[in-house]
Amino acid sequence: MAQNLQRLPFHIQDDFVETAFEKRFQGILRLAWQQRSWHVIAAVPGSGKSLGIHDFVLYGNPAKPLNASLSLPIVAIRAPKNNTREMSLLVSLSHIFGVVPRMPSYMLRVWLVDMFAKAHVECLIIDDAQDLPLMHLAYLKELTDNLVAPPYRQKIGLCLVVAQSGNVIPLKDTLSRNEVLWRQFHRRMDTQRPFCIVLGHTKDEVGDILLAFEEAYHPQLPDLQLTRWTESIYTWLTHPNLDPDTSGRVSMDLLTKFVTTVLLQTYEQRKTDVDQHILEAAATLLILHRDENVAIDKEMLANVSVTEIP
Amino acid sequence: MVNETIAFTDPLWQSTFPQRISPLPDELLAGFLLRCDEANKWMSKTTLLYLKKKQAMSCLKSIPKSLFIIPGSFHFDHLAELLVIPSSMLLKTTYIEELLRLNYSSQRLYHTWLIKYSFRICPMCVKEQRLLRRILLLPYVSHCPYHKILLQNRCLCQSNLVPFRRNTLPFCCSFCGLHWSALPLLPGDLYRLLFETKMLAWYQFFFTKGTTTLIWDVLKWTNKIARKKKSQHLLRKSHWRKLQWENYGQPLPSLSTVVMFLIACDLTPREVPSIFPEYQRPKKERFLFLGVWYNK
Repeated sequence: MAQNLQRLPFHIQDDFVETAFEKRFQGILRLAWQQRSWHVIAAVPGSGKSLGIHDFVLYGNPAKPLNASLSLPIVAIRAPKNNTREMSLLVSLSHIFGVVPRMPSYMLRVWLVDMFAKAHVECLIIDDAQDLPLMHLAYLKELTDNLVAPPYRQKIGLCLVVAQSGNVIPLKDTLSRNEVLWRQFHRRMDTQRPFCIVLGHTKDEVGDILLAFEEAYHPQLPDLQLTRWTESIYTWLTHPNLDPDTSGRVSMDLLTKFVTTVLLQTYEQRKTDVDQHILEAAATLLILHRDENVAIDKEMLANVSVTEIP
Repeated sequence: MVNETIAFTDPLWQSTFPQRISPLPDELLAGFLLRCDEANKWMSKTTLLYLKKKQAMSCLKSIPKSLFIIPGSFHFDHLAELLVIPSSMLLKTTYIEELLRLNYSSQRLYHTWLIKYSFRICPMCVKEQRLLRRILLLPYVSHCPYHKILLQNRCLCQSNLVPFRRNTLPFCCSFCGLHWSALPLLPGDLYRLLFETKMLAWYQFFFTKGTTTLIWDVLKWTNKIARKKKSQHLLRKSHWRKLQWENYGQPLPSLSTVVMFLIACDLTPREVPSIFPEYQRPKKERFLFLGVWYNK
């Protein structure tokens, strides 16, 4: 009884893990930053693009000092959704700097150029860029052209991060069009790597991530050994239901969900290590029963353990 | 406590202006707002209108003058949050604290100072530091005491200088766009400079040491001196009558009236400690070491 009272709720670790995917993804972002080059970077949904971008922005040491110039070398925003008005992109870009009083769009355009120059912005990253309408892309070209021109003479890198489906990279068709604007845009893309696909994790890389999970959850599950199940986990997570493109790669989102589900079940059953039954149950849930309707009634609510939200 | 640098992961990043500044020593609130506009690459009046909108400052009908004279309607706390600086630093851009200590009501001040006030600047102060000093609020100040040049209230195009005007860059003429630092540096009149030096000395005295009691004591003392010297001819009769107080129950005259009267009586603040020892500055303690006096 005393043991029951002392047992803490299961704590889900959400620290950023620098996986192989993140190293590849941030590698291309760093290239764009250092060389001021333009790229369209694609990866499957759930691979960790947004988390990687949030972590990457901190590499620039952004700071807002008192009585000194603002420093924001890397600007990252998410493309406005379902909003084709140019003002929506201008407002999203302006809010990255903090509180900005409302001003007309013609003044905001000028202000953004001034502010990008003043904050020494060196790289602009747009997440979910597949949602950008054509006029937003045209504005990005205008913004970067104004920064390159006198008096600023500041070239900046541009990364349009898109969610990939199959082998199709969004925006590729748009930027390959024959109109003058797109030809100008296409001309600014990087010569060697204009359109990049960042691949997910191989089996060995899945093993490395499982090792990281072991270390992270060791305090809660002292005997945890996940790496011995690498082969099985890899096979399950590359099932056609979970990997419709048959890429043979595992996304971080799927792997995290699988591991979290397994560890939660293990903890609730008061075990200190995972076993085959728990793993198979989690795999079946993810592969076969993921989209099923689940009935919630009072008895079920009473049996659900409360996990602490970090 | 001043937060020197805000990190990107700090929630304050999203709730503060892009460029943060703090007031310069002896800076005027209006000048500080203009510097905030300039630092953030905004047009003039942007910060002020943003604060007005957020705080619904409906009492500001005539923004420039009332902002200068009655900043009590201004929400310092909100501006302090946007810049992450103490509100006390912003209060020092006004004379609120000094005047409250002297027990001058804001309403009284509005009527006495506003009549005499016109916006003017020192081109040299603007050129060096983009600074509008607090003393520009004081009546009868027409020279910059630091640069000894005439203050300017008109542009070269003859339009009046206005601190806040939409679609105008900060510190620029609203009509022709000339920057205030490009205004001519006209040498001041020597006698006028001397007069204003005395006047500023009295203002400085009252603002640093002044209390209501002190003002009454000084006035009663000057009453006696003026009667002895029969110097009422230096003042208009109406002024002289106003100064015939016998007790503390009468309302105070305006501070500018008190200062003018003291100057007319040819008195300086240095004479006050000899008459009122309780307002004397404490003597610095010294000690002798190897034949040399050192201050403690």
